Amino acid sequence: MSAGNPSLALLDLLQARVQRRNNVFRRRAPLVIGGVLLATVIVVTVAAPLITSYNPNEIDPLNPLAPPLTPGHILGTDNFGRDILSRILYGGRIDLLIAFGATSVTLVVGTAIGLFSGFVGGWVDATIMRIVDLFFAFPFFVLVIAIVAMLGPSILNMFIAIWLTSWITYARITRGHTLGAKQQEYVLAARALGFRSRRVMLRHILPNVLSFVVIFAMVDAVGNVLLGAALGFLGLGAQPPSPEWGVMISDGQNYIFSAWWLATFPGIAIVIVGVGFSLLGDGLADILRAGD
Amino acid sequence: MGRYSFLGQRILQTIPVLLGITIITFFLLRLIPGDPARQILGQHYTPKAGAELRQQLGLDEPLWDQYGLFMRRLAHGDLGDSINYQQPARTVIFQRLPPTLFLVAYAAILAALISIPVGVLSALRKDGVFDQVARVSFLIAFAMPSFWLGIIFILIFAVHLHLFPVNGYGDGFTEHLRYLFLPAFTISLAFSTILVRTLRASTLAVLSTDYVDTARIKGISRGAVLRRHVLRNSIISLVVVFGINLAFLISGTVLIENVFGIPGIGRLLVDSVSTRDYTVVQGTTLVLAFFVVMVNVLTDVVHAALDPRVSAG
Repeated sequence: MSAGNPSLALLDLLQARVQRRNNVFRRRAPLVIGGVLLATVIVVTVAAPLITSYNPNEIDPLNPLAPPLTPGHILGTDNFGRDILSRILYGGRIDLLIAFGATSVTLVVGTAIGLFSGFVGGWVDATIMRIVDLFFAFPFFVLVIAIVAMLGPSILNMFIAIWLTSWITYARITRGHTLGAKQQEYVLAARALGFRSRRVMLRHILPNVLSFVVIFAMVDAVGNVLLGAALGFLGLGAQPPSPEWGVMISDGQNYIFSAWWLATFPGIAIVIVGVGFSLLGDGLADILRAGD
Repeated sequence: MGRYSFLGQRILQTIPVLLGITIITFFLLRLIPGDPARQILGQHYTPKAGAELRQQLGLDEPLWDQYGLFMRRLAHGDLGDSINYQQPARTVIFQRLPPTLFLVAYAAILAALISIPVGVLSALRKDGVFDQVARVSFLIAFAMPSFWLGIIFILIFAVHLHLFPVNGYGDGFTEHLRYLFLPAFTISLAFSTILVRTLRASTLAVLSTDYVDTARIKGISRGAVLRRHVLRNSIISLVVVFGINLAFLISGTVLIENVFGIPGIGRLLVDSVSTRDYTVVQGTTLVLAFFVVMVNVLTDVVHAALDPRVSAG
């Protein structure tokens, strides 16, 4: 149509390029937005001392329950006069630590177990999968509470409870994809070449199942942030006066009739982190699908 | 394979799972650091009471005999005694079960009422405005701590608008419905984030099948195709997802009972942690896990009844 006119052809070309860029952006948007959200949260929690001059546990008896937008306290203060913004920034360190600490350990352990189970097969696989099924029968949250109850409420014991129970999903995902990969030509070829099992598992199968694991890890990270906060809220995780977000919501619950901001803002912080991880997971899944 | 042998096989399959559950809950008490008898008795500890409890729990016996003792007691419905309530743990737990069951059922019904229309409409107009809005809303809802959302609902609907009570359980069926609406709605929103995603995917799959095309070509109206094929399949997949995620639903209920002060098993569990009532914690875990396994069998049977392809293997 525009072939006769060079300037129109150029316009077409430019339009096509813009459209392509738009498509790429649309596909990458969740990844970018999620990444930016999380990076922002990490930066502001790590750089908390540069952003606020208050100590998160510093009591100010003259300024209790100051509403948001009070000069000097943009998100207000709690019943002890502690600055809410400072507590959220410092508390974020704990909640992010829970997200990364709980997720990374279970990811590594669960993936290793699933890879081994699927690769070896036979009675080893059958036994491990029965154990996995067994853990799935329990309401996860109830089992975590029960383990924390026996060990005693603390952040460390919360980690132990999550580590003991959360590897199962990773094991199940990795095992399923390992079984599939075992039938693929590249694995058969690697074995035909006489490579050792360990090399086939780690160098040939693992890279191909890892993307599925990482996508699930993002969902799991959301779950772990919510779980850590829920345990803090119930008094079974981080303990007061810790500014962990769940603990802050629990403290604020006593003041919902008079001071709504105590419980509201830490909850919004949790939502931001959760949405960040969710978008990151969605974005990674999109890219994986596009690659197929 | 006939329908009855499917049922029989499904029940046989649960036996090793139930046994495994007893093993895990048995080992729970052994996680207690130090002397369990001293920890369990707490301030009630005296050397004499400690020795009695050690004998009662068989703590001096080999582990295998201890488990045998645990199982013999369980066979008689004995979950041990609650130190805090000075009653058998079973009595304490079963007293607290009705509010929890009511709440679980209420939340499940609300979740179905929310997720069937949203999931099906999203799929019918894939990538349309409604679909986009629903996906973003549920993305945010998925990241919301349900205990926090519950507090926000109390703030808006109970404190400011006076539409619902702030907390409690009420007396009689209609009061339960009113008192438990906010907690059930909170749980159902969290549960719906999972249901909607699956329903949307399964409805999209049904819409692209040949039998839906065939039905349309035969001249059957769009509405009739929706009712007869799309909705029926959606409900079947809802039953399956419900079964798979029942454990998640129970977890949500345990948490939310503590926000709204509902005297159910979740409150009991958390209270028992703070009073170090270990036998009640152990018993609650066991009862809830058994419940999940039983309802899973039930959902499989319902699934087989709704969808003949299942029991045909």
